[in-house]
Parts: sequence; C-alpha cells; structure tokens
Amino acid sequence: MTAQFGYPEDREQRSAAQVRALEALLIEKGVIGSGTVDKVLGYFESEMTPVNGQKIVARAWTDPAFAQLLATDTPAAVAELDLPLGMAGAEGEHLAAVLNEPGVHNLVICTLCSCFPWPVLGLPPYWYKDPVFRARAAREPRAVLGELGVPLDPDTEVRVWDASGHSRWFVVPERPAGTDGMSEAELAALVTTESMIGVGLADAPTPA
Amino acid sequence: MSEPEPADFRLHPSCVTDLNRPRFDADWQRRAFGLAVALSEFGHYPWQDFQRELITAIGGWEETPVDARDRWEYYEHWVAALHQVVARHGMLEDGYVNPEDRDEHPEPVAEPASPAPAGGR
Repeated sequence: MTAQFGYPEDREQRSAAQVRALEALLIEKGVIGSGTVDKVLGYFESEMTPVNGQKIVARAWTDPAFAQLLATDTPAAVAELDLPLGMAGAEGEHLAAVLNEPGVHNLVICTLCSCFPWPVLGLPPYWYKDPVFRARAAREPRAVLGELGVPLDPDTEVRVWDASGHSRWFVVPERPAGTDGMSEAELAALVTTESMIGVGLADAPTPA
Repeated sequence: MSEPEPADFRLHPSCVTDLNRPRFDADWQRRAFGLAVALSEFGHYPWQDFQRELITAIGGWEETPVDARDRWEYYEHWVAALHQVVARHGMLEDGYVNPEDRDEHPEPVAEPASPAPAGGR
C-alpha cells in the first residue's frame, strides 16, 4: 500500500465495526438471513467475473455478425452466449459495448461513482474509483493512457465513455496480431480486464 | 470541486495487474459490498436508490475543501450510503415488512405450510 492509498487503522476499525453492527441488526430484525450476504458474495465472486467479458470479446473477434450485433444491441448479443448473467438489479442491465478499431481507442470511466459493468468485468479495480483517476481520465485521457503504457498513435482518436446508470460501457479491444487460427478459448485468455476498460490492450500471443 | 494537481497523480499498484476476481483491501469492504447488493437483490430497494446515496456521499466529499476533509476512502462512502438507504427505507424500524411478505404482490392464496423463516435465504 502506498501512502496515497493507505488507510488509518482507527478509521478502518470504525468502518469495520459499523458494517458488522449493521449486518447483525438486519439479521436480528429478520430483514436478511444469516447466510444471505455470503450467498450473494459467493455468487458474485464465482460468476460475475471478467471471464464473461473475455468470452464476449473472443466471440466478437471470431464472428463478425456477432460483433456487429454487439455494437448495436449489446444485451441481445450477450444473451446469445449463455453466460451466467443475472443480478440484473445490481447493474447487470444496460450493458453497452464499444469496439476499438484502427484509429479509434475507447476508454471507459465513471465520473459520478461506480457504475461498472460487473457482470462482464467483475468488480472494478481500486484505482478506477479514485477521484483523481476519474477527473484526469475525463480531462486528459491521452496523457493518462500514456502513463498507463498504452501505445497510442498520434492520429488515433480517443473516445471516453462515462458510465452511468443507463449505460455500462465496456471495451472490445482490437484482436492482437499473430492470432490467426487460435480457438475462442485461446483468444479469450488474451483479453485482460484492463483492455476491456480501455486502459490496456489485449495481450499478444506467446510465441509457440 | 477541488482536486490534487496532476503532479500528485499516482496510480494504484493494482492498475497494472489483471484482476480476475473481486478484490477488497479489507473484509469489511467486502461485507459492505455484499450487504448493499444483497438488500437490492432481494427487493428491499431498487439499486438506483443505493446508487443515488453513493453519488451524494461522494459528491459531498468532493465539494469539501481539501484541507477540511478526510483522505479519500471509497468504501467509507459506500458504508455511509448503505446506512442512508437502510434508514430511508425504514428497514430497521418496527413494522418493516420484507418485500416477499408485502400485499402489493398478490399471489395465489394458499395455506402456508409453516411460518416463513425470518429472512430465510
């Protein structure tokens, strides 16, 4: 932990006590059961992961018709894949894909808080919610991408998508070179979470 | 809105790693996350209600002058929003009725075989 992100112990303990007390009270009042939170977390941690996004991207790389549908009607395209989507109330609706292409790089941010496409990306990395990242990515996306090591041609247009309650954007990165003939499963393994936020590219294949 | 100068901008170490599963810095953050999602999933409030509280909590922090506010901690705002949404929906008050027990969703009349377990899920 760096000093910037470190967390004073007393605040930590206070927050932990508050959460413990609230959950205990809700259980005592019968609002939730004693295993409810664990059950929800278990589902989240096993099903709502970037693996879903990786499958979507790999299919888009191998099936132009799917990619077209993904760009125009993301929920309809995602529905074709039989993914363990669900928990619609918790941000599963309104998924919207934006596709990178030669000369266009997409970046997803959320200036308000944390409207993240959980079902396809899992939980957002810590820094995604940091106010400095949010503010700077909106103001100077090209500089931020440079600091993150994303190679950008000067002519490449950077499009910034601000997630909201109505649109939970995720990026379909460009298919890396040298991946002809790879299976969807092999391709999916190249799709990093960062590339689906737009702060990275898909991995290059490891030379055989 | 005040924000640090770009010179202060540093990225969290996790920015350069591929996170393949939800990750929290502490277990209480995970519990707070799970609580907010669980209450919404089981119909105690629409997710948007929680989100509104979260936006308000974060907005309040951002509008406070830098020297008058605590250091940024996302999940403190999450916990504040959680308390707000629980209070606004009266979930800890006597007489609060769980969504599945409310009359507004008429269901076929049937003899309950046994009392529903409290929050049994």
